[in-house]
Amino acid sequence: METVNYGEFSREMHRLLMRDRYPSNGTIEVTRRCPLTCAHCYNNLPMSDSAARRSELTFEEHCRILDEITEAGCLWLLFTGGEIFARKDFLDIYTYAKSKGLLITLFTNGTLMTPEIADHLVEWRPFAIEITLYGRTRETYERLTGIPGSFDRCIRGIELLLERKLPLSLKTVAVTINRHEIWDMKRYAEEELGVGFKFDALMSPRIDCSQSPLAVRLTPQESVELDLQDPVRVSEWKKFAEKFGGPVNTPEHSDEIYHCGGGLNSFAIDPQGRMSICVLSHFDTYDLRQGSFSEGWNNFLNKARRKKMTMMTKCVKCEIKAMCGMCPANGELESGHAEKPVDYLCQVAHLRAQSFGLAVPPHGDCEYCEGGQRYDHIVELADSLRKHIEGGASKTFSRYLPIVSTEKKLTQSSCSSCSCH
Amino acid sequence: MLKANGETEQEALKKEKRRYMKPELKRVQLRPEEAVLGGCKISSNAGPTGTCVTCSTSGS
Repeated sequence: METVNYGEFSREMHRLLMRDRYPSNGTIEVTRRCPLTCAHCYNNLPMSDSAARRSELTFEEHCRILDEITEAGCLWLLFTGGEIFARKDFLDIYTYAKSKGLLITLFTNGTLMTPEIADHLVEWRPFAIEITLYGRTRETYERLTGIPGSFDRCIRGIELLLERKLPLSLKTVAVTINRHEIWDMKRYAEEELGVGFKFDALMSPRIDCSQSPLAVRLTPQESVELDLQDPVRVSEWKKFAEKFGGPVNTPEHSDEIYHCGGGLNSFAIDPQGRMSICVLSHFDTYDLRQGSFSEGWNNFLNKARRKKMTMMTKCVKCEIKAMCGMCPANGELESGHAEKPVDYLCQVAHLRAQSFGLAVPPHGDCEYCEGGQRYDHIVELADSLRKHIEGGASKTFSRYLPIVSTEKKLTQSSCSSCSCH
Repeated sequence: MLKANGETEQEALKKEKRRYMKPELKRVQLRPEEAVLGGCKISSNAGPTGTCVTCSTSGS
């Protein structure tokens, strides 16, 4: 029998699936409960939250949904949380999904891993497992997670999976608490363990509207400095900007607000069975306890995905959108409106482009573009960053020239995502 | 060239019935490191419709 490599298979599948709207990628949040209390998390709830536990889909409801999504053509499924293993019956749900033929990725923090769970995963091998490592040292890790003993449990979890040669990779979110250990984490993963590693500084407010995660968010220059410290990362960004440069969705091409794969080839289901375009977007949800997946996908989500733009913002004609994390979900959570630009993301994108020497064509009334009120500031910051890196600051850190203070105590604010305050 | 019914030759060719091709089984080695880049940091959404880059998740 002929063997084809996975990359080739995946590209061909995506090429074919892109022709139509097709639910090939699913994400299921099995719970929001988690044994960790990470400062940056967008959705975690305490393990002891019995109301949250009672509200979660039952095993039988999960089976029904898994039947329906595979019937509709889902092939790739991500199980995430909260912490997936916080559910006592997670392995039952997982095994049922495996038996349906899905290619499954697991996102976990690894702290609840046991030899028995790892053995089960050997028998029912996932496509991929990603563990988030919050620090390279116990002190940093536990400062972010807030739980003593969690570092050792995470490392033990990693060992249990690697001993069994399961398909593991590590990742982290770069925040003020752990940014000085990013490169140590990368070395640990790639050189000591021989597994993949990735990180990102992009984060959002909590889905319950709290802005508390932003208290540990890196400043725009700290975020871009991390990019600049790694020549491979800079090169990848430049290639990406070249490939996907230009406005993503000018009104001439599309008047829809979404331009990602959400609702087009992917969907998300929360612990209570509400389906949405992605795990961050909760403005439009369809209750799978009340209706079928095909009804929700074909009608409700299709309509949500085709929402039209209601305002001409500077994002619409922005040609560096490929360098930016702005999307309707992030707009909802941070600006209170799906289309309203998120200032932080705009700063990061412009600083990134300026630091990489990429042109930023005018795109409306933008304070970070040439002629804008804060353009000189961006240029000055980019120059400082470049000099700092050229001066030997590669993969080390120093905090300087903050644009926005992220140290202040941030409290709840209004949000269009759930209309609470 | 236009045919009698007003179709071009190309259009007529397009309408020809596709030839039957016998289904063929292929083995795919599951290697997540070869996956198409995830399109979004917080999910496994994947594929060219995404706009994410160095960060991201597992693709599919």
